Amino acid sequence: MLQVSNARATWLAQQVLPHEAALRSWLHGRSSMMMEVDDVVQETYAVLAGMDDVSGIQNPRAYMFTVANNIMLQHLRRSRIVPIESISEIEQYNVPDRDPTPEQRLSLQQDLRRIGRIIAQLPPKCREVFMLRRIEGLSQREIAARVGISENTVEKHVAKGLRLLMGAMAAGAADENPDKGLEQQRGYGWKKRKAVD
Amino acid sequence: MVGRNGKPSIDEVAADWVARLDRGSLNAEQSADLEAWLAADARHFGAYARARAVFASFDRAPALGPQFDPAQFLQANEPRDEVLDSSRRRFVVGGALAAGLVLGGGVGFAAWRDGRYSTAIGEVRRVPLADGSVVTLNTATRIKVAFSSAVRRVELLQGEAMFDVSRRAGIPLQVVIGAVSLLAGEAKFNVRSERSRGVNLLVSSGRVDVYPGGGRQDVRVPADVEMQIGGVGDLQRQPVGPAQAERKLAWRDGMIAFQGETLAQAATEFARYSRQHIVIDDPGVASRTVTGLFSATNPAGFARAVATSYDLHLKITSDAVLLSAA
Repeated sequence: MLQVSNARATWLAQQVLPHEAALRSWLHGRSSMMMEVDDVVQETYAVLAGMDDVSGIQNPRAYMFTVANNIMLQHLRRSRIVPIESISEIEQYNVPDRDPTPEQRLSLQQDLRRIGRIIAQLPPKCREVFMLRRIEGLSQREIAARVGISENTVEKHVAKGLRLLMGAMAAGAADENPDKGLEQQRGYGWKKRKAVD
Repeated sequence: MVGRNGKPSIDEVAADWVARLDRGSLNAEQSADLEAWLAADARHFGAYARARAVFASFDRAPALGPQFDPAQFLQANEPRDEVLDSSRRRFVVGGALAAGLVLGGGVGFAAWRDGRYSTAIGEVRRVPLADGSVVTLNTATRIKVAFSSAVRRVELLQGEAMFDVSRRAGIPLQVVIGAVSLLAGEAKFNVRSERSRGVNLLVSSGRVDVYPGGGRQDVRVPADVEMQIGGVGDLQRQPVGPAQAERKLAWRDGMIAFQGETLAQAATEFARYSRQHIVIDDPGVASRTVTGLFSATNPAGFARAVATSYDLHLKITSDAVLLSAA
């Protein structure tokens, strides 16, 4: 059966998620392909999560781009209505970036600041529950008892918070540029902040 | 986000499943439902894996501490100009090119952004420079960046910084630390300014020319060599192995690495990163040695580990951590 181990989830969080915004913008640049960017990204994660072993992957960023490219190619080959140019365009592809050096990667402190910033911008109820769960490490049951709400409600807050964070990550909150993220998600009615120079 | 026909989106369903699993194990019926949903479409499995990854990316959140205050945190951690935004960079480079044309050629750095950058105690900060070089600042560090048409100059006013210099034909990067001056082309090196002992230089790649001042001969330092440049007298140089270099640069990940240092030396090192100082009155305790990798901003955690392994008495106050014989 299909499952995602904790170790694989951690690997995806550390090695893949930080490059997702770059992948999305690269995919948007080739949007003549009539495939939804979200679909390509989801299928890319499906491939990376379904692999038996990822320890041999030296450069996860390049690997992710290659997988996404293959997924687009497959879709194009299956659909007969696509003009030949788009296939050759995809076949001549180059992974757009080299592996980041340690100096280019986020330092642990910057990473922690980013996590704090993302949590701080969640809607209040969601944030309270998410902080108890992820900062203080209480279980959902313990949170229900502490806050005085039902376990079902706690679960709903965790799900909503996670859903918002997934959107924020798509907008680049996990990316190397920390100035993007939640505040780009206008639709959720979160506090807008002035653009930073 | 709600999909067509008012149905929840794939991401919503995925998030719901991860939250359900986080609550506790699934019963047989729920397990079967999840299994069926995951198998129905590759995008379902992908969205679920991604939701798990996003949740796991907050595994480090406990380090924010139980006193984490969102409002205060946002105020104190406004995103700063760690990365120049691309529109500005384009504008500024355009300005530089225009200036170059007016002057009749050459690459002008004049219009590129100069400035001062600093870190607070316990902070590590990455500062990308306009020429593609990157300076990473360790705790309590101040630098001043000044680029002109002929010089790339960075002054290290205080603290420690790692330089990753990109090549510019004919224009080396100059690092000035008091009377000492360093010149480098494409190179990586760490510079630490120590008030009492002068300047410590560690070259990881490329080479760095050292102009020690005080009438002393200049010298070229190759990769994998460390040099101590004192206020007066000889320059001391020694080769540095990869493991040793890695330890000395652990600060870039917010860590301190010890390999047989005494507790007294460790306390001095920790004092650079936190206002909470480690105090050891007993010389017998202070001369014990320690090896390991520790979080630089957590002196209490370090002291706790030491107290446990050496069976010492530990007292923690808001501004000090006291270690003594039990």
